[in-house]
Amino acid sequence: MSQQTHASVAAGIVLRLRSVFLVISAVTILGMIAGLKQLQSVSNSIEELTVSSVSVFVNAEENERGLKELLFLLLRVEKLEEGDELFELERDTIVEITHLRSTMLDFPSPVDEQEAATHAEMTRSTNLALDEVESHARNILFEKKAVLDLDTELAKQESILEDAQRNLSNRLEDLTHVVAIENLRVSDEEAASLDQMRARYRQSLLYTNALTKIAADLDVVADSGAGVRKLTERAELQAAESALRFRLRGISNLLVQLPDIPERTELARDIVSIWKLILDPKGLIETAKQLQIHTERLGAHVSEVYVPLGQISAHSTELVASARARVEVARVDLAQKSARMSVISKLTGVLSLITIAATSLFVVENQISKRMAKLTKAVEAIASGNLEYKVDVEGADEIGEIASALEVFRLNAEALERSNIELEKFAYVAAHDLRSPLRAIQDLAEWTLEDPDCVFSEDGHENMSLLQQRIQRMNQLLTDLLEYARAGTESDKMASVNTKALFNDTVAMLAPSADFDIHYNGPDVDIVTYVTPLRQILLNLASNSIKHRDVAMQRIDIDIELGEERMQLRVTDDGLGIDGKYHQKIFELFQTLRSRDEVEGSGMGLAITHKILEHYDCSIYVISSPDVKRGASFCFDFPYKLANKV
Amino acid sequence: MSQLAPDAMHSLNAEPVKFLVVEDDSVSVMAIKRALKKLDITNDVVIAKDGQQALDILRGENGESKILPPFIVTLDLNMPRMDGFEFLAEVRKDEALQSTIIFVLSTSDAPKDVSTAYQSLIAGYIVKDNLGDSFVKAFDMINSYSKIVAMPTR
Repeated sequence: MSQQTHASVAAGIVLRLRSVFLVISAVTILGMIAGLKQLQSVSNSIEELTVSSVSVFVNAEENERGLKELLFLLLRVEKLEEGDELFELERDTIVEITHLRSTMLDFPSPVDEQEAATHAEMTRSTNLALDEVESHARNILFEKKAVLDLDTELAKQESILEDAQRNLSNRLEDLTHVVAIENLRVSDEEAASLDQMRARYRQSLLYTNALTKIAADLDVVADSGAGVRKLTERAELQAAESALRFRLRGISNLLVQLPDIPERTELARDIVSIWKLILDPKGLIETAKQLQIHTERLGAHVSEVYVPLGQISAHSTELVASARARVEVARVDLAQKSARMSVISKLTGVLSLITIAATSLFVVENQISKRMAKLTKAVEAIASGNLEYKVDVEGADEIGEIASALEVFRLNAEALERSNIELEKFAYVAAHDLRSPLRAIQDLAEWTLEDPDCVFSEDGHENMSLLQQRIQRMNQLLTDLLEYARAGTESDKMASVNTKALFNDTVAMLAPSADFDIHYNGPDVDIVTYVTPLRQILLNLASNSIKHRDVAMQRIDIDIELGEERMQLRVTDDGLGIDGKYHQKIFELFQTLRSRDEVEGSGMGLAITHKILEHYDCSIYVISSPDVKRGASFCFDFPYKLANKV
Repeated sequence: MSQLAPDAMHSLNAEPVKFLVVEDDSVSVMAIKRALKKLDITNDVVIAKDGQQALDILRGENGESKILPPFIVTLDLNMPRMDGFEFLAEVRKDEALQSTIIFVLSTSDAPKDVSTAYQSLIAGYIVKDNLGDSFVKAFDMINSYSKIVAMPTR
């Protein structure tokens, strides 16, 4: 079953885990997509806000600024004293109006037809207003120009008048002198008559009076003429005009009183020219009248321009209001979208958690984790020797397969243990059941020899002796066999022993003869170890050396070296040594290097030692090169602990 | 029964101790008899060839005459019909036989056998090794035991 279903089921656990991850990923991705979509939508709203509404606010401010600027320019134009800046101001005004035209009509794209209609209407009326503004502006410029020109003209006329008046004054003075002297130049005949003299004097006084009056009147005229510029009311101007006419007529009348001299004609001509200067259609008065008219017109245009400016400003405000409304709508929309996004995120989070929890619980925990834990427990139990443990994990996946494999192992281990037990029982029973008749044979042989009535020949004695030897041998064999069967199967307990004492005990049990020594190299410490098997091993190795010794052998050395968790022991002799090709063989069962007649030995000592050491996970090996040097050294390690570490 | 054995004045017990030897191997029985002879032990010896017969002798059943105290039992472990362990279990169950003094004489030196036997409160466990005079030593000890130790009289 395993082979066939293996391929199809092999992905059992892996597939499930992958599915789990896929599901979790899918849920997360879906959530992410939903969130991103909302985020996109939110982002769009924000952009719309920025692009459309914010630009409207910026525009509105621009417009306000522009309108103010324009107004300011026009006011400056009105207040201008000199004409140098007029050109610049004219240019700036045009620029500003053009600018306003473009910014005012920069609407954001309408959201619906109604708004489009509103925009169209706004465009039309704004254009009209701007046209009005423009025409007013042009008028203002024009009037201002006229005012400035007229002002200049007036000033010129005033100075001409001043000059004329001065000339005339001088002439009058001269004339006054002339007249005075003339009058005082009398003929002798005229001098005789006092009346004539008085008449002449009276005439000259008249002339002088007239001239003086004329001069005074001229001064007044000149003053009046000069003061005309300052008059702002039409009525005032009118009055001034009348006064001037009257006075000038007066002057003309006074002229008549003067003698008809050529100077009088010249004077008259000058006065006429002054008259003309002031009252001609192109004269001072007219110019002043024109100035007044144009100044009035200027003021009117300036005040009239406020209206369309105000209209335009109102449009701007309207746009701002509608933009504000849009912002509000967008804000509400944004808030909604944010809320929705938040809900979606939370939902996704919760959903993911639920999915993870669910899959974690069902797939990972139930299907994998629990079973793995059970399996681990089973493995540990069986490994530690509890072969009865039932492996209750199953399933059509890797874990199930491991479980069935484990069951197989367990059954094998059980079978092995059973067979081991069987073997032990067999060895035990065999040894015992063989021992009994062997004892009987031994006893019977002995009693036969002891029987005084039984007489043996020499051969007979020898045979009996050999019989007894063989019996002994078999006995030993059985003992060793039993020992081998038992070796390493009992769990000995650790006990405390002193290393030196261990050595001494071994020597005591060996009871060596006097012709060789047993030496000890090693520490004198208390250790905790498996004392019984260790004693067994040392005894075995040492007694082997003694058994195989030759006459030349003089010593056995037992060395102990303490390591971290194991100690190294060495039993060395200086006997005949063991040839290299037997270094493995000697540890096998029933192997002896000498015939059993030469050396009594079952050939099991080293096998038993090896089996014991195997049980404790130790190893033993022999170092010996008999053709180089005498002697052999058996080295092995053994677990231990220092006595005070416990 | 009232006749005193020659060494009775050294003994604590009123009468000489009898030996009930439970052993199935005839050669072993022969060896025991020879050992006793060597030790000059003249106490009565009764042989049972398995646990069942030994019980019958202890109870006086199935045609066997009852053995009366004081007596010491030596017990082999490997026997047919009822082996040593079964016999021990039976004896210790029986109120009348509970306090019987039993020495195990066995070829087995397995620690398990030793501990199991002692759990049935034997007086001692002696291993029959194949040295010729192991029976001699054993019975020498048992004899001294019988002379020094007070036996139950019931």
